[in-house]
Amino acid sequence: MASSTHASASVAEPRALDARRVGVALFRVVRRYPFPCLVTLVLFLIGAGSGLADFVAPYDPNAINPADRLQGPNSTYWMGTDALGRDVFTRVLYGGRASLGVSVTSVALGVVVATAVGLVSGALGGWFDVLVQRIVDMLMAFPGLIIVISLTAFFGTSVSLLVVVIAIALLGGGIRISRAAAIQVGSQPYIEAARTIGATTPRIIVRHILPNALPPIMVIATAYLGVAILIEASVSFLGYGIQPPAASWGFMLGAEARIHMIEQPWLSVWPGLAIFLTVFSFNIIGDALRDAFDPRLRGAG
Amino acid sequence: MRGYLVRRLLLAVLTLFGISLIVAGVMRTLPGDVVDVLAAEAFYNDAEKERLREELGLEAPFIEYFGDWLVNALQGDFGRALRTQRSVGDDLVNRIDVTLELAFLGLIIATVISVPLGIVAALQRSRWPDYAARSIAVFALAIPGFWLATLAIVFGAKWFTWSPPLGYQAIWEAPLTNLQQMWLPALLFGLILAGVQTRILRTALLDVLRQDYMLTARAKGLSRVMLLRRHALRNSLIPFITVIGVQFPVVLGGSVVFELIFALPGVGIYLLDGIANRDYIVVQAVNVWIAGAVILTNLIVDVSYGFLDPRIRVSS
Repeated sequence: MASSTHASASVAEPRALDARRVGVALFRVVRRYPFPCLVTLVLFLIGAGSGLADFVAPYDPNAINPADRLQGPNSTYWMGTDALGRDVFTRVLYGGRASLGVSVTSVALGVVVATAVGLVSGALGGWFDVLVQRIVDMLMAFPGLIIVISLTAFFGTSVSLLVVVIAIALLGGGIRISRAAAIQVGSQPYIEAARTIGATTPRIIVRHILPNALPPIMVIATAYLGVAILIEASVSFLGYGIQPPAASWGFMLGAEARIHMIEQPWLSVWPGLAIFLTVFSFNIIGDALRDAFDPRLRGAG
Repeated sequence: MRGYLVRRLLLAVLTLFGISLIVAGVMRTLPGDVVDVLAAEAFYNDAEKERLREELGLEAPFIEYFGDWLVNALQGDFGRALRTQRSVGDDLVNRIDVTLELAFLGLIIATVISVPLGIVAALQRSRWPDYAARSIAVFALAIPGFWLATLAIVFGAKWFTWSPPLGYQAIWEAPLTNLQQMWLPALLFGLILAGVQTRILRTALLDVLRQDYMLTARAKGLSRVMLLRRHALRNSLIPFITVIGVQFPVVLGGSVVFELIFALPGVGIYLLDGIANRDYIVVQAVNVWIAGAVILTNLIVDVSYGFLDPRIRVSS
């Protein structure tokens, strides 16, 4: 901020409407962290394209057109067509809507539950903490993919079940991180001070521990978005995730599609590239968030 | 050390018991009449259905059912697969070597890649070798294993008219054929796993390098190579071994996909077949086995801490 006159002038104006100020701040962030910003932009484009697939996609995702089957990328079909002559670009957009929808919802669910359990467990200690730790041990003994395919195969393959099951697969690690954060925050003098002036345990957990434990939880949530995308894609790849004819990135690379990939190798490129770019972006943003929240770890991983 | 070992062992047994209980509980809460579903899948008649119902102990209360299952499992009897009527325990023993070989080769390749990358990245911190090593690691972390494997198959066939040999041969039957089948999945698997390992090793090394005793060692005139060998690498071993323990579940999960794409008859394929046949005896056994393998690995990792770091031995 330049001078004191400038600062005092801005008090009089409504700050939120000061577009120039926002622009300057944005420019500074972009210049300081160019790569995370670029990645955020990529992710934003993938998210907007997928979320608005109904308006953006050039074709109907399920329109079969045998005359145009197995084409390579061209000006009519930007990413070519699949074995039924469906537009691959359109299906990648719709697949993204399914993938992102499932992973964002399951991460939200998993992280909220894990945070609640982990914070209470870390703050209370005692028998509850011991119990939670044993449960976490058990959850961590199952590979995420194994939990998800075992449960979806038996309980059916609905999208809402997929969300819940992926959330369960993320619980163990999430509880471990938030519990560690709660214990670390709980040993701070200000928690003792709050207790001294008579704050109740629920109040301390919600008002003091939760806000201070949020940074590591947000970092793990971002990393989990990538993990959830990978799990969802693997499960759909194996045929137990999002069911055809609905488009999904995983299924587009699955056994049925693989038959035609020798004939039209482009089919094997696009959905995988979409998964890779999305997961890569979430990981980079997760790393950037971690650096921002905890400068001691800057460039540590 | 002894108390530490005993405590770890007890915890591992307790966890495995809890897991068996949960898996059995989940299997018992399957929607609908399980026997009807299973019988329809396996084309059983009414008499066979009755026998199945009795054999599974589904009429018995859960405690009794679980007790029977546990007693049998402890004797290595995990029941018979519904469709093939073969012993699930025997099937698993016959398939575990494929999965373990893939996991083992993958971890070795990942270590061969990640150790030099991690060391270079830590020593050349914030210079181009560091950025290069970290970029490789972040790339590896984000690439789905099944995509890499699919690309290898598709473009292998397209450009080199190469496809993985069919008909799996065990390593002790035909070592050469076995390695011909295994090298590519193991290499791709190793590339994927190297991402996390590189990151952890680099962080661990950086942590050690900024310790005061490193400065002392340098001050007393130790060469950089000795410094790295005697102090830095040894002290970063613990986080590195931890990551192999943490990664083991990922390895077993990832193995499913590689086994499927490269037609390797391991435990992962067995699970997929079990799921496709809705054979819950198989799924239950595989889940308990996988969890058991993970717990055993973590136990070995915990015990090796005690050997590597005397402080852990003493304090517990």
